[in-house]
Amino acid sequence: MRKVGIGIIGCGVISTAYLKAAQRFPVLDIKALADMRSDAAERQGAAFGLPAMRVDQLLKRDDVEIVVNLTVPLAHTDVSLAVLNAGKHVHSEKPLGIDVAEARKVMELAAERNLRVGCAPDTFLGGGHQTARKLIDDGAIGTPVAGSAFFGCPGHERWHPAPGFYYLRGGGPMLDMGPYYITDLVQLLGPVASVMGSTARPRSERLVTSQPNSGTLIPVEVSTHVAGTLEFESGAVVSITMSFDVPKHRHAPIEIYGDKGSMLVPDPNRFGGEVQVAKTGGEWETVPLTHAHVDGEFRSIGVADMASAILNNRPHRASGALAFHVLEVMEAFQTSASEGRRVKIESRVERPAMLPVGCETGQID
Amino acid sequence: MRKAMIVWGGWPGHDPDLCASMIRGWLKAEGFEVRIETTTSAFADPAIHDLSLIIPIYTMSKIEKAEALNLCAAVRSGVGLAGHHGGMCDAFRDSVDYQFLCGGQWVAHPGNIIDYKVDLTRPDDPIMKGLKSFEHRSEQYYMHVDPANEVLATTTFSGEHASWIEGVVMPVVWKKRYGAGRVFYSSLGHRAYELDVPEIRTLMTRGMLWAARE
Repeated sequence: MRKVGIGIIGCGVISTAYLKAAQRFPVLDIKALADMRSDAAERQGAAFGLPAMRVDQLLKRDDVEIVVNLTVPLAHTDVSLAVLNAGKHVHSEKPLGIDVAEARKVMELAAERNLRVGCAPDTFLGGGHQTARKLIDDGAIGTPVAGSAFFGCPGHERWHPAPGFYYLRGGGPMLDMGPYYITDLVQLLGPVASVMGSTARPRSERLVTSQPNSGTLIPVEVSTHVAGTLEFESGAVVSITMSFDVPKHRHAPIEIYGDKGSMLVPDPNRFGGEVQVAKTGGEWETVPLTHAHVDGEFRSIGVADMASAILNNRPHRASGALAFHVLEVMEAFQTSASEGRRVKIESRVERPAMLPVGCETGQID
Repeated sequence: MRKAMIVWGGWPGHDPDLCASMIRGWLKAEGFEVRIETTTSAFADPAIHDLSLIIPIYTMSKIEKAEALNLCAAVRSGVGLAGHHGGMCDAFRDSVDYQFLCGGQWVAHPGNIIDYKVDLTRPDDPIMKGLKSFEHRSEQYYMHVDPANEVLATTTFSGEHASWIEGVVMPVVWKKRYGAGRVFYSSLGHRAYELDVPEIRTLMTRGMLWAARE
């Protein structure tokens, strides 16, 4: 099998997970690393035995077919546009852009240049979520009619070294964590047709307790509690809460209710986890997982799927179109809350195909 | 308590809201009381003469003559002025009073977002102490500058995107006087996330403190 040459731009915290996981996918051949801060690129280059260079040097390399964009969210579109302009496919960390208008530029340039755009999250390709998908497709809970998605934490200023951006435009719990949950819901239930939202910003400043900025107050410019309803094209209605204002809770991350039973879907920020189904009137039963990529970190499976898709001339799963749809949905919550109305979602996306049953870890096709 | 005023607005492509939030956070950590304004009428307020520091983040846009003259008078009397990129030195293009105050005006960034090097010309200056020359990826600002500026860092144009400026050495960071006031500028920071680059955050914080007569 031919390998596909990969370049990585952005050598921050998440790059370690990508670089480690990439070693598990034989289709990926990491060629080069770059970062706006040369010391970060050199550090990761030394740690993984890969050449570190400037961004412009990486973009000029003939042996790089896909560039993985792991920069900060505010930089995603600038970097993705530069990658596409260099004639390469791009796979971006989430979100695709900090707003729909930004992300649209990326999608339009990719279409114009006939290049692929991929986007995190790719956790929905993990064994836990592919098993949930198979159960729905097999009719284990009948026709899905409703559900819930819940993320709540006390805030990233308790652990993140530089938490300021979580509370400015482009941050907030919906843009930060929503992609994991909504992407998984779309692969399970199909596209979203409309959104209703309510938001809150209980504090205008928050106290950082993580190092190195412990004791400083950071301004809060965005809603830190977002609640609402996703109305799917299929008719299913899902209640969602994404919050940085929850000290502790006991909600399952995702629950899906069908006309024949209910399903508990594991944490969509992880690949594996336990899938449970209860038939109407019955007890919860744990279902054996039908797919690989379960235990551990596989952040780069979306890139591996894109590489395999290029070799096999098929659509890739963690696509820009899916990310764009999810971004439009996420943005709609604030619009709905601000304007006091139901917001229709313009974009539509097909559910990405389920991964084949029986693939080993590291295998896609 | 020292008082600063951030006035943000203008072209949104430079993330003025995010920059204002970040800089407000830095200043509050340094013990400043920070006033945030979003219209240029703030520059006409007689109360700005009592501030320690004014930060404009207002790319392009227009400033009224009376607003510009009051801002200039405030700095001339000893109020500090500090800013970055287009938020300070590509604001109010038709106000020569304002440009005389700032010490520079952006005119081009050949090649748009490119990789370039920032060279320290005065590593001994307290604003630059301990920093080293560094690579940066952003717009490399080509500016019309005041020869009276005290230049702390420069960048050299390669000529790749405009052959006739090959080898031109252009100020990136400067400090200057304007009457009794101190003026500080850095051309780094096209997008807000660049302000988190350690070198940029350090030189900007120190520059603002210098302008505010720390």
